[in-house]
Amino acid sequence: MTSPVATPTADMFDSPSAYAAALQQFLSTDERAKPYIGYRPHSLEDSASHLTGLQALLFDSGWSRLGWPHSAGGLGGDPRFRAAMFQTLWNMDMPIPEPFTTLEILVPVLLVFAPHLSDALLPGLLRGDDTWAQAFSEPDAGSDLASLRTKMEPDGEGFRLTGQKVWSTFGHLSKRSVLLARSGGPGHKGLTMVLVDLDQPGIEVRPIRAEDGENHFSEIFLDNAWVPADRVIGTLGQGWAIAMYMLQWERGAWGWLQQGRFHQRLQQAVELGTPNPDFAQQLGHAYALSAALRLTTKQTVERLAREEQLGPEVSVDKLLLIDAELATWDAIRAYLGPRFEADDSLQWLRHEYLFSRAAPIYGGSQEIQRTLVAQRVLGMPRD
Amino acid sequence: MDNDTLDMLRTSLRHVLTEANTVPLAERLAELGWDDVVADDPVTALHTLFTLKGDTVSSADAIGPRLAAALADALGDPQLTTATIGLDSPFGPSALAADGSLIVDAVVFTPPATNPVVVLVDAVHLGVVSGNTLTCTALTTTDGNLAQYRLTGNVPAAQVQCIEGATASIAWNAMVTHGRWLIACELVGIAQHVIASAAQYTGERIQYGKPIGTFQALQHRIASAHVLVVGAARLTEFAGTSGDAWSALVAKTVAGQAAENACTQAQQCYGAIGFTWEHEFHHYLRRTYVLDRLLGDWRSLERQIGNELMTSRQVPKIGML
Repeated sequence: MTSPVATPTADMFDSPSAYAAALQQFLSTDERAKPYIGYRPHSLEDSASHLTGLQALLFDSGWSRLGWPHSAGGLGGDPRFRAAMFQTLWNMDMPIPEPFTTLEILVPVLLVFAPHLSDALLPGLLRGDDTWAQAFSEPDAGSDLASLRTKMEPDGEGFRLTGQKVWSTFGHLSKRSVLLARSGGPGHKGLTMVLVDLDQPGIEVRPIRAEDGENHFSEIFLDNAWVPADRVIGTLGQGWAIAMYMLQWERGAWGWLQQGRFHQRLQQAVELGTPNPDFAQQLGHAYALSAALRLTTKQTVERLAREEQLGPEVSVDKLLLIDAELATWDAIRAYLGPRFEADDSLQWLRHEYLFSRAAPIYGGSQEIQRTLVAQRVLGMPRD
Repeated sequence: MDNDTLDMLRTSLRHVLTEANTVPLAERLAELGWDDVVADDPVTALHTLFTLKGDTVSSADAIGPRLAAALADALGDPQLTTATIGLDSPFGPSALAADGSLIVDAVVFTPPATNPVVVLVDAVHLGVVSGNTLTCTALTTTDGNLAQYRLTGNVPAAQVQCIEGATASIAWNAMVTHGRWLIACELVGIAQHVIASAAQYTGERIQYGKPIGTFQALQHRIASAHVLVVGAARLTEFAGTSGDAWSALVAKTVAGQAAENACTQAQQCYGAIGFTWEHEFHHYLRRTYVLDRLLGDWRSLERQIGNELMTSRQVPKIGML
């Protein structure tokens, strides 16, 4: 075994597995990583604040910069390094700071469609000095996102936004938000994507308490809120196309991150539980689906690393994620028995269980994904 | 193997698997120079053959010779490449009697004639006997197109060769791992065929003035089935490259489940025509049921995985970046 290094070295730049092994050594030996190993948050706000330290540690030591281009504050290398970092964090039982999942989705979009913003804004985002949310859905525009109504009107050197957004993950803990608004006529073509500062008059952000009791998302009320012209991502009217580009990351890379969680939680369940053949099939089923998700999303991450343009087939990853997520948590809850509902020390696990019920709903519902796969992947006819 | 070579191989294999022919598959494959193809890139060659075999529901005995080759290889005994491997019989186990005679009850895909037959007696004993010491009876199974035979007999100790201990269990497990991978490939081939065929049919069948494939009720059945098939395909590819027992076990588990589920969902899309012998579907359904039973059906394998996780308290990860 080589001695631990405090920062990625040149020999790791070609090998995600060498990188992952070195990162694991770093996290196991460096004192600064200790407070995050096995960390069980009391609340989502506590967790967000505590894990800012982990995000800064990983950035300052260079580990989280591998896998991102220099223009984003990274050290170069492809997305497999980010995927390897997530796997290593799960292996170490260290929670993934929520902003990392937002980064996976938003940074690739900024790099392609708003390179003029990346130098100034992305390094702070990667380090966790800055946190961003995503504001797409509206009370009357969920699955039917293209019907959204938040108005975007020109005003001098920028635009004014008026409307209401909802289900914005971590909205109340974020400084800025990527937001989809209507700058033109009805339908897909009238939509524009912008990056808006949330700490301004004209914007009110209210947290929403989710099923697990935590404030996972927020409502955002916009009343003549200001966005300067240089905060437009892409061009006016390009919003829908960019949102579609975003989905390949949201549905692909996200699945890899989540399979790491499922394997880790199954590991914790078999450490906590008492072997009982009554639950063998349910656990075996959950594991088999998580393994299928792992290899399916591994291929997706490798395709993203080769800069292939992914199409509607990423909805398969999302659907497999839903099946694996529900099966995994149902198996864990069944296997741990009545204490799962009552044991104080398992509260964090209960919260994750309850949050897993959102899997078939968020990020494009299970029904929407199935329709996409049927029509766009399998060629079944459209009405 | 480059893509052009692979395409040519697929075309030739599809022809061999579908043409009416009484010549055994092994001989027709030999004409293609199959041994060289396998020697050059065994994983791609075998993955392609068995996936196509599922796709075409071919009745050729492709698996028998592969099981023998895997066992012979693991035992380092080239003579056993001509052996017939006796798999678990649904009617009872093979057993060694106190006097050393071997009571055989096993299932094979081709009558062994005078070739050696290898059966599993218990975790650490394999019995090898000559095929002509056994009674071979054709079985009537769910899938009449896939020949299966039951071998029975009580072979005196003097005519029984025993392979014992770790050598026996390691070799048998290697054969099981190889076989599970190949059957998983075949099940994935079946599932992919059935999904594509049902999706196409729903575009042709008109009711209420439009193709029934426009109805979400059917779209969602087929899409959800496809998702599990993709997962099974990725696991099966990985099991082929890695060759390890755990990934073959998981691949066959998911492949069996994916094929059965694909058949269930597709059948509903075909409606009444899929329930008749005028349609090809019943061949795929029957083949799925019979293949899933070989080397562990998916429900038993799920239980095996779960028990392994609970007792070892370890959750392995298949595949690294």
